[in-house]
Amino acid sequence: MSADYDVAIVGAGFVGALMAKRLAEHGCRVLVLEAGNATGATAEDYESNVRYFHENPFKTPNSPYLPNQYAPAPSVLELAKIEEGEPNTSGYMVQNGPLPFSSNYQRERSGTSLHWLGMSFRMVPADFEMQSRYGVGVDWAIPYQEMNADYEAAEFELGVAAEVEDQTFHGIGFRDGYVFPMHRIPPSYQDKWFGKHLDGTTVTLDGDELEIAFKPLAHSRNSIPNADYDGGRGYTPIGAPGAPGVGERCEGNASCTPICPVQAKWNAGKTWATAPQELIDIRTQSIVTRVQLSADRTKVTGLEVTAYDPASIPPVGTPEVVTAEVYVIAAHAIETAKLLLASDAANSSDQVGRNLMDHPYLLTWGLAPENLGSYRGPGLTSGIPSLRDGDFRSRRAAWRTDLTNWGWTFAAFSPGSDVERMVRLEGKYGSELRASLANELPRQTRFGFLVEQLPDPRNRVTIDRRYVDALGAPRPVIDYDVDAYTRNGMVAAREFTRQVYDRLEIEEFTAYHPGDPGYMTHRHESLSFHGAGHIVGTHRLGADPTTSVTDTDLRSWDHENLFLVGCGSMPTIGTSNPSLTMAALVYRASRAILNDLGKR
Amino acid sequence: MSPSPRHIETREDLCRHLQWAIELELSTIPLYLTALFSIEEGKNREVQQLLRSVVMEEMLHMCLAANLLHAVRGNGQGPKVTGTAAPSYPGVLRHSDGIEMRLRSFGPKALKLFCSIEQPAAHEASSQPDHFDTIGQFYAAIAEGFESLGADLFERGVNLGCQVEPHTAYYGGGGQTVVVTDLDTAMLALAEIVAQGEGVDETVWDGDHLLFGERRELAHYYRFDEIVEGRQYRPGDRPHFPSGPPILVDTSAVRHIDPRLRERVESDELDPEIVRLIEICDGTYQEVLASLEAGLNGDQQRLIDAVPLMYQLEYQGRALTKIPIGDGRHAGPLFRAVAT
Repeated sequence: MSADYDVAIVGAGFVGALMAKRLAEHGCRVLVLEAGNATGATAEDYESNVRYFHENPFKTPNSPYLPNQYAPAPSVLELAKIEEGEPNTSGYMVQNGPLPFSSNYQRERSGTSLHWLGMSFRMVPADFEMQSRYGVGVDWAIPYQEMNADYEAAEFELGVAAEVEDQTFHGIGFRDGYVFPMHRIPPSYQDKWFGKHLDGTTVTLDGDELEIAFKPLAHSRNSIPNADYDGGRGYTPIGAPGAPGVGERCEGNASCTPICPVQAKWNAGKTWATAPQELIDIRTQSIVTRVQLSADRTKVTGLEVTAYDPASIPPVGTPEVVTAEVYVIAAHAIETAKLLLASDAANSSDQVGRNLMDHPYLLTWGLAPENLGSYRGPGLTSGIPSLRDGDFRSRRAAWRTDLTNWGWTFAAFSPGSDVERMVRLEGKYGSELRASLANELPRQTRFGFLVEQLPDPRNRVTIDRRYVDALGAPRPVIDYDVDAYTRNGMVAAREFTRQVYDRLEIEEFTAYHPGDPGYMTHRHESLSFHGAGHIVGTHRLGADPTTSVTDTDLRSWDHENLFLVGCGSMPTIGTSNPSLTMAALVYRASRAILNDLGKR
Repeated sequence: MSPSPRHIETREDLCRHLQWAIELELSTIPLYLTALFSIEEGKNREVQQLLRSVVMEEMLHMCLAANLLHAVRGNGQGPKVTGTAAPSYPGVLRHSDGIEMRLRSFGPKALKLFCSIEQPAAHEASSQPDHFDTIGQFYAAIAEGFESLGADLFERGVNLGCQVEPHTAYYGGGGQTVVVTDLDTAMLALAEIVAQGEGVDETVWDGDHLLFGERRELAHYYRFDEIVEGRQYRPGDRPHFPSGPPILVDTSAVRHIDPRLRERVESDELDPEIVRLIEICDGTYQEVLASLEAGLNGDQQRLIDAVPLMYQLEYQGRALTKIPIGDGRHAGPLFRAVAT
């Protein structure tokens, strides 16, 4: 019996889109199964999401989208402190703690690209060699140099705007003559102000003297195309699908995370729109509940799928089985682990769900002595890559830090909290209130630190029959902690802030409260973290079937026609936002799949 | 007034006409923008998209006309868009056969004006270097001028650095700029302007798919005609007989800008605070024009700077249309290019 499709992909998100496009470009018939809705599939629907976000009083990553009881997803609003021995079961994720896992993801067509930050960085070589260089974590089984061509492919598809000169640090090597598809998003006034005062100076953290150099970031946001791209053929920015002439350039909107109002920030909708439509079937509202295996367990034979439609009676259909030659699970690190555990698949190593990592995100903030022009433009335009690697990584976590252009916003709920303080506590109103706001808000500055975590098998996703969703599918159960290595990095971040703020006469207002879900202390320093949405490590690739879930082609060690693709594949998290690396891994896995199917 | 000449016969005359072309393209933009700003956000999506797309193409036409001028002007004056080069509203569309321009909200009167501006030339219509009936006839006279003056017009490399190149600071927006270096590229640039406005070969389509291999789009005139007819064109439809799905216009989602707003502002009838906001918007428009003029004369950074100013203009213009000034009328932008 011949299979329904060449390839079936579970998850129509970031990875699903990139992979479906690449495979279809080589003539594969691809089925994509998506648990969530087809939100944002038309320009009009996308705009309705923008309006919904503007009108929603809670500005969280998931705020532009309607909740979906059939394909629930975690929300930052359900985070809480966890008391010992009492898991927090109030949200979608069951949190055993001791600390809450604070990141979320989107279960919709186009997935988490619907709320991502839009940053596309390459990892640095040391991120791939943590064990051999620093004696912590693990090494990747993929040599860093092998990533180069796939990084380039990812930078094309994700429409990256950057300059090679800004992105060359800590051994990141670009091919001679390479340029990014588009020129960089210009640094903000604040970026230049910090750079003017600090570039070339040093900070001393934990005995290490480290140099500061502010550099513009690499964005998946449309900017001016680089005429030298692709050997002088240039690059054509992709705007909003279905709305001609819209979104071809970043307009500097200050709400582009989570949702860019014009689609100048990349989302997977652009990949769907430019993929060979006739070879790709996307079935949304279709939940894969089980991976079926052959009797000898060497192959996947089918996927059990339950479709639902809230507008039908009954809303939930009867399960069916779909078949393909090759199967790909790309459902995001937590959902992929959940499905494999529920299917008792791909887990001979006992590593599925383990080594869960994020970038615990530490914020520090202050009030500058002069107007920095805060609350304008995209959220982040410069960072300090010089601090992302060094010998200190044998002792403490490295971090990627950047300046936000959006004042204190979610660090302190500004500007709403400022209005409230001035009115209630300072008794201001009318023109005096306006003058106070105009004086303070543009001086608000904030650092964000994405602090690396090491792979730890105790940080993990499991399932438990006691905890299921509306359709009876397991909810993810999370055990999570932040170890001393990462906390050491956070302490260094606080010290960094003090030294810099002292030098620039910035008054620090950082304040963490024991009631914050991510509150903790370490070495007499109070700390607090948020989730970064960088969910990594639950089905890591490797060279050894006993310590990894897939080989370096992202093929399951246990089932020869099953590929597991996503941030879950990454053995370490390093200090880069992981999307670009994940995208590069898509092209790596795609080559192996095309090879299997004889389509290369 | 002396009778207009029948033909463009000298380089100077051609340059003068190309400057007029720049002014002509610029003249249309405030008309379309005013109509666009008058529609409530998120309402009448098709109409907003249509107006926006036409504005973007008029900007492209202005840019193409500027490139044409640089290609032939030698040491002569470069493109001008500031001060008196910019039109005044209300007023007559310069060098047309008396087309009356007035800034209006989106509605039947505005549509009628837009159609008369973008009116296609009849197949047998003669070229008209001045007092033109249709823009197509005006550009036909320019094309004839290029052809009769011939290859001698072009000197290798002269003013090349002043032209706006495609895929650089200028990109996107339903067509590409063309660097004009010879008769062929001049004709390509002219064809792009006329085809986007009026359609090609008496069809409703704009020719981008023929010229640049791009997605098929309606020429401006027929985009407006779709709204007049209340129906979309489909492939194979003849002019004025669209057979596609209906276009429904929600007239309640349009704010009615006072068509005599300028007269009321200048006779001090309005609240000074409203007048001040209108003047701020005028100032932004003047900054846009100054940046554009520098950008169209080779200063690429000024062209880049013009983009955020255009957004500023849109925010201010839309905000003005939300200010009621009595009798159900609203304020709006006046696009005064000369400080009052």
